[in-house]
Amino acid sequence: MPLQAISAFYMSNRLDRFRKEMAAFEGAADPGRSLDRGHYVPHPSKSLADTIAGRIALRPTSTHLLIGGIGSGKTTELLVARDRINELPDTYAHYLDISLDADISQMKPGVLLAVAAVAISKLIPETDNEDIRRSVRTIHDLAYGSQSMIDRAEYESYYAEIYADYIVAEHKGIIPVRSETPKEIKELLEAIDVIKQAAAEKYGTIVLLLDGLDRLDEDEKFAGLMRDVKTLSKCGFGVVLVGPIQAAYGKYRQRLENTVTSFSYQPCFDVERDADARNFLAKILAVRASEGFIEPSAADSLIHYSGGMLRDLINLTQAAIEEAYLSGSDNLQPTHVDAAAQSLGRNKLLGLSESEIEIMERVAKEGKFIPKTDAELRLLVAGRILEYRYPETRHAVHPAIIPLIEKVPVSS
Amino acid sequence: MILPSLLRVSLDEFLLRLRSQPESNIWSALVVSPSNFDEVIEDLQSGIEILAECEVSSVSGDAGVLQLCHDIDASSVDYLLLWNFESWHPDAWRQLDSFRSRLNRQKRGGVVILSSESAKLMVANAPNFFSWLSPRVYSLNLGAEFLTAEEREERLSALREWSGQSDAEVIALAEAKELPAYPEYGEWLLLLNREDLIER
Repeated sequence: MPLQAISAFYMSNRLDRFRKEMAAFEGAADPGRSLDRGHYVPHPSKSLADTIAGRIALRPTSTHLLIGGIGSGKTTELLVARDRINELPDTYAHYLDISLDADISQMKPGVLLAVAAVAISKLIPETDNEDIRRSVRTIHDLAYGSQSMIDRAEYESYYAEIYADYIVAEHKGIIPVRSETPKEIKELLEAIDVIKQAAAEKYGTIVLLLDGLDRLDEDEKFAGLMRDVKTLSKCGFGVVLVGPIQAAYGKYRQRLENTVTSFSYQPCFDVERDADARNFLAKILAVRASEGFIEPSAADSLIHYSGGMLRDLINLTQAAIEEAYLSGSDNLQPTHVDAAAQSLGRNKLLGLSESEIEIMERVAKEGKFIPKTDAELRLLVAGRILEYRYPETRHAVHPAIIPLIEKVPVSS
Repeated sequence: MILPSLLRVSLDEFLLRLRSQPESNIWSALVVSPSNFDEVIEDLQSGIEILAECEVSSVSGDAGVLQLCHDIDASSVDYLLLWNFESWHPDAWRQLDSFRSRLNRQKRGGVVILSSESAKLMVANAPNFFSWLSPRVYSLNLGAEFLTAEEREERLSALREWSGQSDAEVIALAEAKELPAYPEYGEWLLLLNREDLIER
């Protein structure tokens, strides 16, 4: 650390300024907060959010699958799509992070339907209508489980606690995950139909935007959820859901494509070969940072080392601001970005096997990559290898990793 | 094949990094030898309370993912230290990965304390969670000093110049409990090895 910088190091106003700059780049965890702060930058071409919202406008009960790597901006697209759809007459988009209501690692058919039904039932205002009230109760009981008093004679069929001549029977809910029965699904659908009609007057067609399912990394399990998506559509709801990148490359891709109305892929932005993509990322930095805080060459460096991956751009910028603060600088310079990029690259190499390094070396050298094996898919999912689809489809090793693997001695 | 390892940081440097962060949902991870977990947690807790001026609590993962998430939900402090993942198998990390959104609370940050083994399991099985932490995953160089003796003296000089006070005056004010509640004074007392005078 340069000693002459130390006198400035601890001044409260400097600390406050750096915290403010860093806070402007918060939002990697919750893109909704970034949108609220007006940090959304429109895409260089038509965004997936606009495309999906356009399709919903034409056919409100259609179904749409949005695939992309970790940190590629899928949640932001979903939230922007929500806002676009809510500008349409007689249509209401409701965003739902499934991971907050269910254990995604244990998802099975029926769970998505139950989570969606609970969310829709919460849209219904207080009412005296007994049919609606009963349907809301039914949804809640089927989703989360319930208790009922049954005669002792039925005891054998339940695991229960005994109260005098009656048993308190525990009916497990669908959401805590078990195999649902056709009878329960039928009851659930009947209840959904009642509340859909109750909601129609206020909301028109409801479009469910289902987030968080990209963390379901087994494509077979993910494909199994399509039954619920189809059911919701048949019930008269539009559905937009995000899915894992494996869905685009696994053996269920065709089935998924055949199930949903549209299948979209959110690739990385090719900042090396597309000037519009570079400008897009430059605007993301400009809209958040104070004027003059990021030196132009540092902004170029941030864009380069992000690889066109939006979360990496945001996280890398925060880390570079941290480096600038520690160095005693008053603004963000290329050396701070280099230090942060080195940390990002080292993070991305953590836990890699020799064979994975060899795959990356091959991609770096030959530029060819067709992800087929689990190891190759993992590299793509974790953003170690990046996929671009515009101006042309190509793959590249993440730019923060390149300088590090070039130095790795390869043993025989 | 020898891969470049994580960046090594001293505890002091790590604390200064945390200090630059706003009150927000920013998380980091530190890779530490399990034999040093207790010492590191104690040092982090006291250091963060002083330098980042927030309440800190530790949450153990030894009772599994659901209990960890429950304890995190139940905690009301600003900053959490998550540790004790050594018994976690890949399935537990996968489950945490699916629960990542539950850690997403505005103005709450934290540090995940990992052994090198648990760090590798996390990378392999919780890629979403790891992507959220990266590039703030460091290896802790325990015992290393961030500042040399010369730099420490330079920093003290800077603080004296900034406030116009001497070390003795600052100590006297602290003893009289009249020291202004600026973080600079906390740092000053730490540099003088008089953290006993810092009011918590």
